[in-house]
Amino acid sequence: MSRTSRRDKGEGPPFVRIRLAIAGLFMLAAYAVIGGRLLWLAIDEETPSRERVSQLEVPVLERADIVDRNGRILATNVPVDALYADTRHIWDPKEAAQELARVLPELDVVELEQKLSSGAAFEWIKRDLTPRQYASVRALGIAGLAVKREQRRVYPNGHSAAHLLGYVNLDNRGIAGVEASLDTTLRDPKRGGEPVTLSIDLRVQHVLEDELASAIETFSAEAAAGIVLDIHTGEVLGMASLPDFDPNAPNYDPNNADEDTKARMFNRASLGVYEMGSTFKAMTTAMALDAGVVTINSTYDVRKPIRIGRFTIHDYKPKTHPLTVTEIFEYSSNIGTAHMAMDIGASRQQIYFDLFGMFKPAPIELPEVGAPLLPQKWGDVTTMTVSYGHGIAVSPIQTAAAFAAVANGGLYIAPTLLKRPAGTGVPVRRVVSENVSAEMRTLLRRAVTEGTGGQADVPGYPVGGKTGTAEKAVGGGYDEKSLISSFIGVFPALSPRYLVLIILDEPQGTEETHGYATAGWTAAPTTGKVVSRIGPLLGVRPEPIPLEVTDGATQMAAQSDR
Amino acid sequence: MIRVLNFLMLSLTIAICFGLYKITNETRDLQAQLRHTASEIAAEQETIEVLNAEWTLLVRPARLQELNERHLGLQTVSATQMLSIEDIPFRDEVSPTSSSSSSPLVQAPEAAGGRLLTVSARQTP
Repeated sequence: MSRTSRRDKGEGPPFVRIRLAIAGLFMLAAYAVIGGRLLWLAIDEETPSRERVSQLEVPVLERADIVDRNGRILATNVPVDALYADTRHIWDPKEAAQELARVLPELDVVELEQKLSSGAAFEWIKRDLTPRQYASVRALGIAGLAVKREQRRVYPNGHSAAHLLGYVNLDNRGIAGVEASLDTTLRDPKRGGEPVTLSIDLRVQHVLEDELASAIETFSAEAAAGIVLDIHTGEVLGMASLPDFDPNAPNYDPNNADEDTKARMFNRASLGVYEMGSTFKAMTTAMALDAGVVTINSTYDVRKPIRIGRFTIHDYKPKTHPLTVTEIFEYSSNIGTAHMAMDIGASRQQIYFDLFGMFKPAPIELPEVGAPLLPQKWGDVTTMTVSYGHGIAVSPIQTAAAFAAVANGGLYIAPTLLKRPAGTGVPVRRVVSENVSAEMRTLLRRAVTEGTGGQADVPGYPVGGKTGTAEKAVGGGYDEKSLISSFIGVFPALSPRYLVLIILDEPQGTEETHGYATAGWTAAPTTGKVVSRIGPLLGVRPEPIPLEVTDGATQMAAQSDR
Repeated sequence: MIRVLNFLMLSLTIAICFGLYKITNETRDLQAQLRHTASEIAAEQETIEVLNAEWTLLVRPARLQELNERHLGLQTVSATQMLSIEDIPFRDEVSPTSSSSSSPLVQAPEAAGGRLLTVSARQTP
């Protein structure tokens, strides 16, 4: 084509040029749209994929960890491989079963064959395979077998705190302890894997278990339990029951367990109910003072045993002169306390007992909470016997909470296993007045310095507390030989912060205790040992012990001078 | 004029096609890499969980106590080993001749505000 023809086109009639221009514009618009859309797609594609990745980054946690008050792990999860079969793809169930049983000898061949020939699309073969078992199953190369990654609950501290933590079943559902009571919280996906913080201090828990174990050994006791409580917040710092079990492998079938296993699974600190004995005198004395029926200097004649109906109330070591309320408490006089209870009267006594939380199971976050065994009729005999802890059986945690109310300024605080967040209020219920509580602290201290609890005292950490020795109810009567010895102590005595409860089941006297198995010789020294170990751990400031400036100190000072 | 425009359009289309292909391809690569990294992170997190559990197992109080009894013989701090800082005799009291106000030991009571001194003991074999 020549230049002329081109010029001809360009100089054609005006309507042709307009048509061309319109067509051109359409083309341009179309290209612009397509180009823009392509560009948009290229840029926009990133957005949804980022969302997908962020989901991948935080895997959904099936069950939150449980940690102690200092953030140390009490229960966590580890990944394990779980073997299952899609039986529709199994060619020869018999052969497959034999091969599998060879690699996993704990499985039963007959049962395995039944499972493999069931025709089900999903059948568990074995949960939590070890890596070695996994490798050998893979090596078999049986079609239809597959593994699934699962979370297995582990308790790295083993036996420690086993009763309060509880355990889970194969499907990771809690079936005992806080695992059961906090099951929905632990499985709540909204928490986003945030651990549940308990009030327990793992170190305190260990000390408690360690000292209980050595007490069981020393005094050949059947069992023991202990509680450490913060009396101003109700937080349980330690709760132990021995003998115990390993929550990693409880292997517990309640319908088919022997006596020994049952004893191990039993939480004596919360589920067991006991006649606590003389520790109840702290509550009785506090209510007598609060009701205004006595002052600490009132006296009672305790020379003669009380005879009422067919009952006789004796004292362990009868006194030959009238005793003041202080002395009754120091010497742990049953007669004196019974007189005091009669002055309080049955109805007021019951009101106070209710305020102390004695009539209802302890409101603690555990499924295993023992309901108190209460007297059926509340006559004079009952009024007298319950005043020193007989004829009424309550759980140790119930007693600990009531005792805390006596010592902490007169307030009942429901015990809890969950750490209280800093700055939150503590719900309280006034039981006795602040003055009475202050008087009781003095009495509790005197029961240690002058009375039966002397062996609970620790230099630097003065303990105030009360012993309790009760005979075990066997059949219709009481067995003098089998005792429940307990001690409840608070420290530092006059401005207490912590409570330690120790209860020993059937301790035996030893040579050092001159054959005595009573609380003053068994539970009291155990409490003392616990206090001396947890005092420094909990940062309790010891009372100053006068320092002797020895030559050594002088020399040290002189040396640092050079 | 039109021809030049057509040529430009064509080359632009080719350039966009090429660019788009390249970007899509890179995105796909990055996504694969991301998935890989995410699975690596998940694996690391699993490892961390296992290591945490193992660490807890290793530092559980019962084991530490046993190890201490076997190798160290450290004992519980007793109240007799703790003093309030005012109770500690300072050089001024012990040897009046060597007093000096610039000594850090003399200044300690104010600084520490009477906090407790903790002295750990070591059992002599």
